[in-house]
Amino acid sequence: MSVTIEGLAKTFGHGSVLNGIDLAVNEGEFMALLGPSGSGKTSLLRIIAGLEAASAGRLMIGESDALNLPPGERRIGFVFQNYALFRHMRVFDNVAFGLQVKRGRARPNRREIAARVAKLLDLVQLTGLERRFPAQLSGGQRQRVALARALAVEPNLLLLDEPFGALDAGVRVALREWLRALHDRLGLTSIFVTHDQDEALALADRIAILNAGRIEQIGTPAELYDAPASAFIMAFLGAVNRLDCVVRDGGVWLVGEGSPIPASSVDSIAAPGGLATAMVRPGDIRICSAAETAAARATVRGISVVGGRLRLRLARGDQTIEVEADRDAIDTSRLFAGAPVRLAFRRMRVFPREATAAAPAAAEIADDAEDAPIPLAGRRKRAR
Amino acid sequence: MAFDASSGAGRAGQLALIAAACLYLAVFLVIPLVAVFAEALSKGFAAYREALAAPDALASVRLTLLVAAIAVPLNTAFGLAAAWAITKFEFAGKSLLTTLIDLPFSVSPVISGMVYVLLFGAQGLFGPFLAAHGLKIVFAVPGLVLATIFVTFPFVVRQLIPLMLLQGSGEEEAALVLGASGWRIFRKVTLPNIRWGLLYGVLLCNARAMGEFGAVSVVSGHIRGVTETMPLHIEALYNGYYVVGAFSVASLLALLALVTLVLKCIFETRYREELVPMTKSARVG
Repeated sequence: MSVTIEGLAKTFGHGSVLNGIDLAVNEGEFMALLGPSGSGKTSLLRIIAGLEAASAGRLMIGESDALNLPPGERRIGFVFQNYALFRHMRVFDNVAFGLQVKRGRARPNRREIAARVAKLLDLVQLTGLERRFPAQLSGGQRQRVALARALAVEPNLLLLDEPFGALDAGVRVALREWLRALHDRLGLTSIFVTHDQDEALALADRIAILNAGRIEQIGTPAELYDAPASAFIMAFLGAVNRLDCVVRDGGVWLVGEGSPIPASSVDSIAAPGGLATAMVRPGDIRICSAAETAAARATVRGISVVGGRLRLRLARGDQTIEVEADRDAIDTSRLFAGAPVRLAFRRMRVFPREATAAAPAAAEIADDAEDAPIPLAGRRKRAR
Repeated sequence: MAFDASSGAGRAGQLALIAAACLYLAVFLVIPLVAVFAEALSKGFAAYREALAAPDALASVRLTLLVAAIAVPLNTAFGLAAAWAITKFEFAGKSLLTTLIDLPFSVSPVISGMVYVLLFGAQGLFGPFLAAHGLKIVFAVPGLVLATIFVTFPFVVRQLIPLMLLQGSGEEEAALVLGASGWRIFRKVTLPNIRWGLLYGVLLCNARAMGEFGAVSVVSGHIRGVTETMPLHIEALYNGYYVVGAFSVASLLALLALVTLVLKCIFETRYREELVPMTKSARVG
């Protein structure tokens, strides 16, 4: 069922958690709410579920105005961050709970409940574990029990709060592939909350990026990655280098360089004239050969090999630049510490200067996610 | 290492500490407990039985059981309600309520009793009203019950709050989204999770309700056979130089203490079994 949110707001005393949220989730879509902690994404999910009250706005689930419905009547399946399984109930009773609490004629009889639970446990591949208590299950098994419990009431909408947050990195990747496949099979409209951009990019049909209680951008993973609307989003979606620059006459001049960056290297300029910040991902910087015209000069600081990838740490004035490339693509013989290098860029984006103030915080949060790409610049700064 | 048990000096120190602890326990706990039973049986078993069979002694036992039978269930119900409210909801005055719950622990029981005399006594605030309607609270059973409720109020709440805080509201929220009613959530989700903590609190509450002296002493009026609970009756017998009688009744209270202790031990073992997988799942999950 589709979900439409209009002008949703949540205030707490003087502060506001959510501000004018507009979001439309299509039938059968897998939508991610992505943002750093404190961005309001979990509050939004809990308001949709009815676990928190909204201060203003509208929430339509299908054709019904859901804000006035109690949580139990919204036909929602909710998978909690720590699963919140009933610890004193066995797996069977956990999954059956939503059916057993139905009232009157809506309540299936004992045989029907048993059949439904068996089918659900088969769906989440937990057949045979009916008699276990939650404490006797692994993290991944618990997550699947939580999922089966949520699906038992045949919800119109599935909400998942950091569904992979409590799992080991290896299990997480396997389970998220499995969940995506399950979603495609069931065709159930789903919204999940995550702070892990990798997870959102890999799983979601569309992503809504939240920052400080607002939605900054909504789009498919490719749209967001290729055309971030702000410096915050660009920094949040992956490692990025920041370079001081000046925008003049429609061209971008790196501070300290005598000629502008070639226009073909710059994807977008979202800054007015004057001082600005140029952002470019580590994989979009290339070491030039002597014959080429370079856009910038720098000095090698360090070099390391991570799997098949080469990571170069460069210094340019007091700024650090991280470059990532295929090992085979670069001749490393002349890349010793202290050696001068010349750089060329592609897909550079220029944003107003002040907008990057929030970016270091975003980089740190992305840093906390275990298998997120390492925001090179952010990490270096903290190590010093 | 200073605390290496295998080294001679460390071993000697360890033994000295254990001996000191045991001696302390013996002097202040075991010997008095033994003395109670020794005194009670000092004139033989027949005298002991006779002392317990005295009508006033039996009346005091009945009264104590009656007071506990009213105070403990009420405090259990209020304790559950207060703990639920404090741990599951945010509301104005929450910290004030939490502080007030501890009040009976910080106020001398004598003052707790005095309050009821001041409120419901003949010269008290509601005294004339009660007299006009022929109701008697102070120097009667209702006063004893009120004083006991006041003094034993914190036991159940105090036991439940940390447990419920540790467990959080996640399971209740899950049940709510699945469509369960408030009562159903309480009965099927909350209560099973806190049952051992609850029983433990009830046990401690009961022990105190039966053993309370100060507060009930003020409101009792000491009418033998009518408003004397066991602790009060013991004091009256002792002051009347009927030592065997006093210690005989006292031995019943001492037995209650022993039973409480044993049950407490059983609960704690049970309780830990419930707590261990719980903390484990909280950490992993």
